[in-house]
Amino acid sequence: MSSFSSRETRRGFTLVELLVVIAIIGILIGLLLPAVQAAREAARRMQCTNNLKQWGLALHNYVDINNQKLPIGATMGDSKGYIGIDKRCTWVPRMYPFIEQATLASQYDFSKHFYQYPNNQEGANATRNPLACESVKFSMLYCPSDRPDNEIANSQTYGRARGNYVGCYGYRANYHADEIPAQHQSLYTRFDGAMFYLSKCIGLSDVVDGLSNTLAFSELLLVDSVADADKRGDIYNDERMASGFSTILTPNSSSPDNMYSGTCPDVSSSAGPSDKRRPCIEVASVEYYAARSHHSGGVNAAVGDGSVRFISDTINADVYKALGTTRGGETTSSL
Amino acid sequence: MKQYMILPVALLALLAVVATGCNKGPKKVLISGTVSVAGEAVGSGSITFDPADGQGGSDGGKIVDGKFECEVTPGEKNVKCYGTKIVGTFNPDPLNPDIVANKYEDFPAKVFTEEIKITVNKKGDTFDINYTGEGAKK
Repeated sequence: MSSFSSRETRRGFTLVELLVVIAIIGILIGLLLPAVQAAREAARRMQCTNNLKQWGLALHNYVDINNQKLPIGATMGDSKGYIGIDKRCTWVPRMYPFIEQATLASQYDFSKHFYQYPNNQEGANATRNPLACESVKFSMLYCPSDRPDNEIANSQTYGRARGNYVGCYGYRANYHADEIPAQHQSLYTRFDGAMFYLSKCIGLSDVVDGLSNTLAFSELLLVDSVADADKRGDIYNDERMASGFSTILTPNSSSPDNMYSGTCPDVSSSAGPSDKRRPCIEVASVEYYAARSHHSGGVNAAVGDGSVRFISDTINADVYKALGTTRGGETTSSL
Repeated sequence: MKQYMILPVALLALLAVVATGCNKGPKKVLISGTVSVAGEAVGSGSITFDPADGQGGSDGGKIVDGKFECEVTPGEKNVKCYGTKIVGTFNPDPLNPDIVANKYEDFPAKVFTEEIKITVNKKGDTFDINYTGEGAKK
């Protein structure tokens, strides 16, 4: 009896107290989990920033040994006599030697179109060649925040890797016509230069706005389904803006990208509408893609001087336009 | 018993403050309306609202059957529209003869920039945009 009473004086936890403690632990774990997710996303964003930094440095290394010229943006199928390139190609393979892809650089044949062997696997019945340069998915092509299924449409006879990082084609749209329709002349005449051009390359000295005030690279989001013929991030394809982005729309704009007929998954995909973070419509001729990302509140962009900035979704549209141009003569102090 | 409850209550209060957080940026409001050129409804396309004072990003949405509905930040806006209509089908890629896609034609009006201004005040505002300027008629 005495032993029982002594046990009674030792007070244990009541059920309510126990439940309160468990609830508190639960709340703390609940608080911690999003923090862990945010830390992971921050790490991915940092990796993405790092990739862009490498592209920026690679651009300068390229310029150093190429007569102070930037690489051509895209050849658009013919050279029009600008610099003697008559094969379809974009700026990406030209950067191989400067992003530690020496093996790919030695394999790539600039006397062939991008869709021909050894650059790509050739012909409808060709065996898929695992060594084709453009099928190699090296990590510098991808932003870890976007986890894409990154090959181009299965419907194509050749499969090439997509990439998140694209060149800046400035405040301009691209036209699927030799003659620019009169109603779109205004967009064209407002074009004040860009780091990357179609059928033409410029020198660093042409960037009169200053390299620190001009965007070189940014990122965009890749399509989910390999079955879609989405041209955004189709970085080896020289068709117009496939390897670039435009500053007509501010980053992550809710306004849709203009895409050429048959290439907008919202309209043409058998898989149905794509992610609403990369909306699009199909158009006859005027094509432009905005920079887009999964980062909260903006996109990363490499500036011409090699630095990487985070550009907010709510950036002043005029400042963003000015950042895209190489010779607009604007003052951009607020980046 | 009472004194044991002080800690959890304090923690819950802290949690409430933390979870609420801070809501950055101006709140977007849902607006809708119609787009036409010289009275003819724009079949499909895009509409973009740029802040007239340049402060802030561009918002916008798709035009479907002449109507649009999108979330924009309030304020004065320059309206940019891009209209298309489907006129048949064709093969857009000569390397892949099997592909068939819609053939589009530009709507007979320029991409009208800084020519139409609207002011978005509140949620549910509707705008009937009818462009009658240069190039509106064929």
